[in-house]
Amino acid sequence: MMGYLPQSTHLGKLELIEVYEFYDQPILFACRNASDAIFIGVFADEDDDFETWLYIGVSPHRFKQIRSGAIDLHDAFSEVEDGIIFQIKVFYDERIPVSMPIPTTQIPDDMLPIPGEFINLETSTLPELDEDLEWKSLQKQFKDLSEPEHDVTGTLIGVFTDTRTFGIETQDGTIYKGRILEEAFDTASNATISERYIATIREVTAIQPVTEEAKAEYYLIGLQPVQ
Amino acid sequence: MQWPDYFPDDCPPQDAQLATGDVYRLVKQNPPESKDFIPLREKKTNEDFGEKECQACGLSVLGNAEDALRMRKRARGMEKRFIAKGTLNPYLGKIKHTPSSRYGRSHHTWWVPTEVEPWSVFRVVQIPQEG
Repeated sequence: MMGYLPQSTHLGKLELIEVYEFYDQPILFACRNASDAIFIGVFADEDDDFETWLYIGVSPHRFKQIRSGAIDLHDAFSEVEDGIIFQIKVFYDERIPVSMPIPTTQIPDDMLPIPGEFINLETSTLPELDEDLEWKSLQKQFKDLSEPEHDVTGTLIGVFTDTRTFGIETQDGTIYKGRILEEAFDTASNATISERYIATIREVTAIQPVTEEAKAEYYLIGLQPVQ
Repeated sequence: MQWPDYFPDDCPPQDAQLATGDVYRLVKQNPPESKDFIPLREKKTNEDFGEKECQACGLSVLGNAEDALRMRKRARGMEKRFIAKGTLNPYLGKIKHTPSSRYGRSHHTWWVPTEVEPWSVFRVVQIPQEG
């Protein structure tokens, strides 16, 4: 179902998690990128040449609040945890989508869902998802030191400060992608793409919701240039 | 029925029914025009819809107007659209109930044969706002 979502933006490689409204395509939905950052997207405006979509990054806890109806959709988009909304223009012709992080205060209110609209999904409908997200949240919060850490030497292929994600490719072609943890954020923010670095990575095995497949996730905890 | 060449095999699906009944579609033009009835597959010719390929060849229609009103409140990109009502019959193609999540319970996918002009059976209607 990747064809429904833009794939070449700040948000990374997106896949749908849940669809709340569908009209020819998902128009209100949750999705996540390859490093498991969760976003809620909504169809916000349309013109003769392009559609405008809004995406907000949400923590697992916030996601649970929004999908259970504890927070209405208007507040979900107007009171974003990071204060940033990603506005994505998707053109009807073959131009690639344009994405732009914008402070929530600068988004016109007529692009946001009308106040009083709730998703109101009972949490029992997808218990595996919630439990998994809570587990991951705790895991990140307490930075479980029992998870293995190792150094990887390779070429830095991406640092996205807005989504706090990174990518590094080793000489044998292995690509490590994932979240940048706080301790590595400043270093990564100032790193040079295409240069070689030694990345200290924490590897965590996570069980995927729905499919229950085991998947390795990588967290960047240090980065230093190869001398 | 003759289906467009881009429809995959087994599309419409076996469990789709001959079209019938009143349905609603959100349209940009009043009166509705051909461009209000272009399947996503035609709009996004290079995309890979995977297992949803057949659905991307169809059109969304709703069994009740309340679902259309709710969508306009939640996804403001739909807000400028008109609500058009059409009465389907078996000559107009096939239809399948394809509800989304807890909401959109009246959502159906309608597959339109090549010889049909779908806009000709729809007209814009005024629906009293809820609440």
